Amino acid sequence: MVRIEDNRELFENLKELERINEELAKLKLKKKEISENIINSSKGNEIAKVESLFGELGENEERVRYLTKRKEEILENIKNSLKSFETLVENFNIFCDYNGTISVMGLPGTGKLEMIMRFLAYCKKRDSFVVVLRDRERVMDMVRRITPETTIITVNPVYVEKVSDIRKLEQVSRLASRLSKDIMKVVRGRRNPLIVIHRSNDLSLDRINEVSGFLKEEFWRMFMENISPMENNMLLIFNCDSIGDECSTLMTFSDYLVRVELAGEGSRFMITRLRL
Amino acid sequence: MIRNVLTAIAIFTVPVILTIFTLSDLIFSPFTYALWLTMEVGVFTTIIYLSNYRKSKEIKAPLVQEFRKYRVAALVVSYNEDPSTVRETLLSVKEAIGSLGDVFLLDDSTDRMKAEENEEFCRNNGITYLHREGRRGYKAGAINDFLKKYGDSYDLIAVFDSDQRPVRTFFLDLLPFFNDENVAFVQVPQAYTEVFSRLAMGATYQQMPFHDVVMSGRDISGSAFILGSGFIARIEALRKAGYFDEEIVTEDLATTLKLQSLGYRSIYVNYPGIWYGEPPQTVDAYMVQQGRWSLGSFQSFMRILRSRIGWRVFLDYFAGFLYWLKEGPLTIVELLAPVIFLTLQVYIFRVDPFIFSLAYYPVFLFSILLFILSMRDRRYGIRGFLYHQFVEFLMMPPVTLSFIAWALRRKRPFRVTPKGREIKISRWIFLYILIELLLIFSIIKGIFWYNLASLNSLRYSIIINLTWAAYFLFLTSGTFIIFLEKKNI
Repeated sequence: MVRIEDNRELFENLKELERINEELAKLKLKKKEISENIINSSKGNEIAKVESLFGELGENEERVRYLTKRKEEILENIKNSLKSFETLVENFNIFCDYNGTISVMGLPGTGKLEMIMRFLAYCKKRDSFVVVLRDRERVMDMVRRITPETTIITVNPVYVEKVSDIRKLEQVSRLASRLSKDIMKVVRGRRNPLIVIHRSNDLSLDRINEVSGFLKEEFWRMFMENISPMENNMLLIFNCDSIGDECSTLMTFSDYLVRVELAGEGSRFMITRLRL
Repeated sequence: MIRNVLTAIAIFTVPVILTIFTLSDLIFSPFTYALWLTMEVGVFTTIIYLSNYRKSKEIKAPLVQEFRKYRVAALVVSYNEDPSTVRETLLSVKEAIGSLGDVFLLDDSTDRMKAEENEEFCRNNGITYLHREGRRGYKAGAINDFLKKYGDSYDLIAVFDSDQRPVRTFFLDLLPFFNDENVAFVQVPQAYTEVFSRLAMGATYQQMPFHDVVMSGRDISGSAFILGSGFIARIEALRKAGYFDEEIVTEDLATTLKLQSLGYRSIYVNYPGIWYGEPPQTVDAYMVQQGRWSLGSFQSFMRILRSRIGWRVFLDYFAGFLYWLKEGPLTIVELLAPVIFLTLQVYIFRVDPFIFSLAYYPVFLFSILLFILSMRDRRYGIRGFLYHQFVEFLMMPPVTLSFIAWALRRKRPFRVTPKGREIKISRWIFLYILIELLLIFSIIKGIFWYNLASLNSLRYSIIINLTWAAYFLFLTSGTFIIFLEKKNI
């Protein structure tokens, strides 16, 4: 039997990553508050106060720089500390009974989708769904060939426009909540739903340059809050193409990480437990 | 229905009351009435636009839906179009529909060579070619004939003009909306991608607020309507509505009203589902297109009043009708009012000019600012706004002619938007030169009058009219940017 190792160091790293993200979010809000205070004090010619606020702003910025650098180090540590396992098929049994969140990550073309489809075909005791925005023809083809019982859920094409319009936190919360609630409506009443998000890259805000990292994380936080796989007896699988740092955010919300790499003529899967 | 009629009566009665209280000369009373109506319509359509703008940010349809298979027939409609354009569109539709359905070419071409070329292409590419000798009901008639013959074999039809090509994922994107059995049709924005002239650019800018604000807002209100191309409709719903309306030149609007009266839902998906679309390239083509669209809207007026639709839905349709009224006959009144005042030195209505300015100018400026604000995120800008205004001013003559034809119950033949490869100066330019000269003359006369006038109230009235004349002079001059373009595409 293949062992899924509890990686305490990795877990610690993830906890620290969460703390850093929270502090960064607070610092950004504080920066905004200080900037507004500077403008108000300048209007009132309160020179001493303005100087003190500038000092505070500098300290704030320094802390942000430190935390951003630390975050990069942690992400690098996480990547390096992932453990490798030879096969995945033997773990299908474990995952099929599991309620929670799994992130499947790897470069495009490494066989992630096919592996996930085989898993859906294996796990017949659950009703399975694939949520897809782009790449629908490939998903439909694979579903037809490998797991015909799986239901395909397509995302409204307007979603893309709405994502590209996002600039504020309220918009992120509204969109993520709506998306997750609409998914829940479709899977309501089904047997222990197994939901695949293909690809999380397409749904996330990762490719919108104007959106801060904080908002990108907030999107998935809100999404997960409504889905709550464990409470709802669901298994949620994120299929994510590792492009840049696009999949890093998902690790914070996942219980298991499956990294996929090409090895020889096939694919190699590395499973890591992210939460204790 | 009674509420609809009362609303319409109220809109047309308020200016009557204002006319009675402000009339200066009985001869000018229709003019006075039309001017008050213009202002009222301006306020009304601005309020509806604001409401649609606020709604346009919402999403009504579910964000995710189960993908189910339907039997789909994709129809490409053609009438003497360039066969190469038809071919490209057919291939695009065929690629998009894949294994989800069949493609048909409904070809009403009277040009024998073109019809034969189209038929041969269809034969070689697995597309069903359908040709009619008569053109009963034009496009609506062709679709209805198809539905009566093949309708039982399909659940849905998709309709594309021969110059509108769907994206590869068109059907995959839109079919899930039909999971709701109350959805009668799903419409996507028309695309103007082949912009080769200034007129085409203006027409493209003109479409942007319509698609992004008006139709998106109407989707939320439930009043989105079929735009003639780039839509999928449920055959069962069309059958219940008595198929496409063949009496009205824009069959889509009248048919939508029937569907919505039956309680069916309409969906407008504001996404780039069409990757290729040809706008009118010449002034003449644009005039034909706008003449047809406005005539269809005028012809639908009684149907709008009689429809069993919600009040908010009615207001959207009514605003659409008033829009055409404003861009046609009422624009002529607006244009002539300062000319009459400045040249003949007669008052069209008697209102304190200062109070008038305080009451109307803020509304006018607000409507412009709202318009620019509503488009700020959408590559529109001041340039887009100006081009939009210039082409909108260009449509005054054909819309007015359509209005007259409708008012006199005169039948006008269905004319497809002409396609041309040569952009030359339209004969309509003579009308606009005349308008330009008239406005310049009025402004010069107005300036002389102002210098002679001693009463402050009169001077103020002259300033207001000079401002309006200058505004129209600016618009007329702007149209020459479009008129004077000459090139081969």
